[in-house]
Amino acid sequence: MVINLTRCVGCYGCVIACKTEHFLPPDVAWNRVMVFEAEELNKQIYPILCNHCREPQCVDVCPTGATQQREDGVVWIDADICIGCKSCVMACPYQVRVVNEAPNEYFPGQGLTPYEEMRGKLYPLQEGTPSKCNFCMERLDEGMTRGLKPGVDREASPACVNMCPASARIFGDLDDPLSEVCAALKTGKGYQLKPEAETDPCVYYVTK
Amino acid sequence: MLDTKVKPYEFMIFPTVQKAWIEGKGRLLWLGLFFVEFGASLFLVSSIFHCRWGETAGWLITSILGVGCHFLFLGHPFRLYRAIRKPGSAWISRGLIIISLFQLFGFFHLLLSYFSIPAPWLMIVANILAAATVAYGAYELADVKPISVWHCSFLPIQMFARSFFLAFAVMLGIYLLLDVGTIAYEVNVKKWVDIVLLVNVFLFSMYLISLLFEEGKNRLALGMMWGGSLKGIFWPWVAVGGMIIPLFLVIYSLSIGVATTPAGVLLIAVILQCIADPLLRYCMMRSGYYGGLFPSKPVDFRGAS
Repeated sequence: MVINLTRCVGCYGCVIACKTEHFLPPDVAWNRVMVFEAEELNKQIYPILCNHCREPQCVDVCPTGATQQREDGVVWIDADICIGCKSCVMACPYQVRVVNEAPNEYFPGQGLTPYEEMRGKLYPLQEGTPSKCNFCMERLDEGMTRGLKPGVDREASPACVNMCPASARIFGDLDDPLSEVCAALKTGKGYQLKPEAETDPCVYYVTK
Repeated sequence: MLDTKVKPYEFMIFPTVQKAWIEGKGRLLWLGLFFVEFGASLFLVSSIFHCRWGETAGWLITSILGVGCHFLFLGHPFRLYRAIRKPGSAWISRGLIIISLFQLFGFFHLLLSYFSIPAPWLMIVANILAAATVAYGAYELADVKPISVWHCSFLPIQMFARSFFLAFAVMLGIYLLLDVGTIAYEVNVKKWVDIVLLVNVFLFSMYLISLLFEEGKNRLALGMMWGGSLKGIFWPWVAVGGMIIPLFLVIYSLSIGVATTPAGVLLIAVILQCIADPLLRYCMMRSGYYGGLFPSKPVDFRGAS
């Protein structure tokens, strides 16, 4: 994924799209938007999500193999295997993992809404285990089985990419030199966050 | 800046303290690692000095308190058996295997020794596994690469040494309590308590000095201990209780003569160091932090930097 920082307007659409897609409870966010002031720059807006690193430390330290990396590079967690040791949370230099606690109600004291009840059935988050962005891999898989191309067809692209009103997020195969994501990376001089962590993230930021 | 609760919009903009392994159930891991290391060290040092009750106590501390705290810490403890799958890269897997083997070999070693059946090879294996158990606790923390104050080669060495000498001090302290003058290898208990207390003071100091070098100019972890949210623990219990009072008592003991020193004076120093060591570990775990995430240096508009 490439995120164009000059296009991003900081609307938090990606955050909401992610929460909606995965039925995330109020205190869990897989996508975040950081806004801060920086030296010699007025305002910085950084959308943050799991970097799906090529050398993921979270996969290495997981004692059970619950955190896995697919062939296409997506790093995901099998919560049914996870023991909740939080080693992956500690090992992530980007701190994008969230430990699932007992989910709070969106409207405290009012009970669960039908939407929240559905979450428990469709997207159960096991207490005591971590969760994080999985690049909407269910959507990717379903789309690809229908012959669609991730990053090109909406049905085979992550929800945050579809939602972004400024098209700041570009998704696709970084190994395909003809893909839009690869072109954006070349023209925009893409950089990764915290390269010193030596995890080689797959999420790049461009400023052109 | 570091000790306030991180708000979502400040997430990883500034250096952010780790919480997963020290807040809420995370405190159980701090206790678990301490008891595992201390228990295995007590087993090891007691084995060297042929102290059967010390070996038994060490084995029990590791198995009941150490493993118990680990078990309670996990979100899904009944899946623990799955954690042996990746000893190649995960220290928790290695630790689980090492502790299990230590429990097994330690148990048979104790069983045979209580029946006075000599099995030196079993004792050697149990001692090697005890040393490996101590090393596990240290490497578990040192393997967290993003936390620079933990991820250093000196941490496992000094944690191993601190666990060993704390266990040594406890063993000698109990011999003092039992009014035993000399133990195996003609070791004079009072004289060696003085030496071990001094070694512990030296090791405590070395950890703090090493933080100065590890952190460079930032000194955030050290700052949290000296003047931040941890100063209420650090100064009275670690600095005064663990270092200054034991040092004063050892100097007092040496000045009036080791033989004439009341056992109670040395026992106080041992107890204070027993409290100080886990609290120094707590400070260490509480002050572990991740560096900021962004290439452009944020301006702290609240003036807290």
